[in-house]
Amino acid sequence: MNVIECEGLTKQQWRLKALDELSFTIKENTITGLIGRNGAGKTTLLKILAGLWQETNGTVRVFSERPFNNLLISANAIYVDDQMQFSNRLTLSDILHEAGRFYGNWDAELARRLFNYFSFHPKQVHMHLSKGKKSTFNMIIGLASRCALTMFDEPTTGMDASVRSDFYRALLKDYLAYPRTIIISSHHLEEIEDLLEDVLLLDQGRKYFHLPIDELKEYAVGLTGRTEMVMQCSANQEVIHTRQIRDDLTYSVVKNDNLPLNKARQLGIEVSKVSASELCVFLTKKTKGGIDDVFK
Amino acid sequence: MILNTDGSKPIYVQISEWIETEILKGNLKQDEKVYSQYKLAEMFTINPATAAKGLNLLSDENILYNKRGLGKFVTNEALGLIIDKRKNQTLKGLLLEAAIEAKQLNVSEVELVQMLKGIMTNLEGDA
Amino acid sequence: MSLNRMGLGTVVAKQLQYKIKAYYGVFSSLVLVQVIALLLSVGGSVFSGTTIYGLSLDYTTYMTTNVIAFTILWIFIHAIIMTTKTERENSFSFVSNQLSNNISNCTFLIVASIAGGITAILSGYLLRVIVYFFIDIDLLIGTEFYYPPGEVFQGIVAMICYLILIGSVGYLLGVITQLHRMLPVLLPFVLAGILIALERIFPGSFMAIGEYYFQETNVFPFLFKFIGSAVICFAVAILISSRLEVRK
Repeated sequence: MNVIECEGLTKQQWRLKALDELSFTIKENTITGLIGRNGAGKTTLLKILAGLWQETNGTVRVFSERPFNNLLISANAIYVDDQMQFSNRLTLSDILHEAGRFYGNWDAELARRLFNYFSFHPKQVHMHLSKGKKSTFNMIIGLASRCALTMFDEPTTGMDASVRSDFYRALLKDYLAYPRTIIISSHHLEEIEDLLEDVLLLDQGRKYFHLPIDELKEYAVGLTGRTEMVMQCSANQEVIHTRQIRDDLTYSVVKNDNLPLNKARQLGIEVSKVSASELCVFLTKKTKGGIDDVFK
Repeated sequence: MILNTDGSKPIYVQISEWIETEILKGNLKQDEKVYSQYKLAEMFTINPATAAKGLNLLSDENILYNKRGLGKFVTNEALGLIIDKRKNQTLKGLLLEAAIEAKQLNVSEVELVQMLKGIMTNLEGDA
Repeated sequence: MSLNRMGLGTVVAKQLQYKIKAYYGVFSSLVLVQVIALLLSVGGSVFSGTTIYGLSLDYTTYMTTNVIAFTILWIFIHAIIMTTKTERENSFSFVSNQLSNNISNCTFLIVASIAGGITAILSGYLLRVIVYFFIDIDLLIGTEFYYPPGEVFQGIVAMICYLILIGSVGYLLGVITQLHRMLPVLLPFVLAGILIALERIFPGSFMAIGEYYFQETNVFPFLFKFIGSAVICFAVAILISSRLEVRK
């Protein structure tokens, strides 16, 4: 069953198209990574899916309903980011108590255990938490609410490395025990890729691709070698990224579409894997060059 | 085991190799039930779909078989198949890499074989 | 995972409960405002001396209009505060849509009006008690010291109606100002302009509006006029904000 269906989804903000003819579906009980550079439209998409923002054009369905301003969606889809607002007249334990009244699947025991594990004080006020602590607290709300659609937008902002890895493990364990549809947006694909089933890559409001993570890892290979050899090998192939290491030495990232890799090795080209996160960065670069071109 | 996340091998391949190694070590015997995809996901903090892919890889190679509703079990021929595969693929691959490196360094075939022999003797001496 | 279905009524009830907790400051500020108003009144608002037939007479008027005016101002300000960006976003921390949020806000304002109405009228009697016991006076004239309970009740109901109407107007104005960031600046001028234009084109319309609301002495038309107007204000506010996006 599809939890999310988008068809030609467009969001116009002033003159800019934050989302541009986006079409995709997300299956029930999968973990999807929403990847893209700053301003690619990740947050816009998630806010539309959560029913907070309104689409300009196209159709968007969550649990077969239009999400905007919809109580069913509000009760079953939670959007967690570092801008979450809670009344500063409530203490942290008040907030957890209130969340429990609103969310039908709320697990108070899990919330309490996480709350203690990350050593929060019940009388603290949300506004006064540090950036990382705020993210951690919001994450607790996101996990314990057990919403059928749970969306984390850059959930690890400000978290230290140890809290981040705790979060990923907590997320996975709770997902295994209570499967649900989860979307995580992140700049750090390398940190979350093991958790993911699929990756949705956005580039300037458009879908670049929507692939299982394993296919993404074999999507392209890196070729390093003498420039003319690399050129010869990648002729008629889709070159994603290329960088001149030295005058006569080139590193190219080429789409792995029946590439003659053995021949390449014989030509003295070093064939390397391209990690999913590197690949996403290369794919969504505005120009084929890089920061070096600025300094030319 | 800690998974190698530098992208050198897909996670699901690493999972299937880990199970193979468990069988080789004798930790998983013939007709014994292997870990479920959820258990594996929990053990390695990976997506259960990835773990399932690793298990399916082994089913396709007749190393595991399905019992409906019960899970996956080790086949009779699993051990033989794994040894065979490791010999023909992993070991050969390693040797190929060694051969390429030897060629680059102008190490002769005789010299390479001698090096290998020396390593083998050392290993046996340790054991 | 099966979906949780929550009706509008359930969500509104939960939100109202949440808001009473989150806005408890509204009630403590009510107490503060009325105490200040009372203290100002105890000083006496009009003081004058006169001589009639060689008899010198000093009289002080103790009026409860302070309390009433302050309470009206209090509900007006809180109605506007409820529509600000921060408060709207806080309302959407948990399950909500625009309709449920608006209805729970309106309900909250009605609850606050009831609290404000009761305390404002009763504090008038408190003032009388204070003046009677603590201030050295010779005569207490002008109003009766004791009122029959029926009249007290009427006063409370009327005060609640005033507050609900003022609250609904404040809420509507607040919602309108949220539509565009220029509106908080422009709206006062626009409103003043409309009122001036109204007075120019239809002279005496101010008086007419005042009479329409404040010269009504029959209970039911009075209730109808006040509650009806408040319902219209709330409904317009709900309509205007139904398309608003949250967390812009």
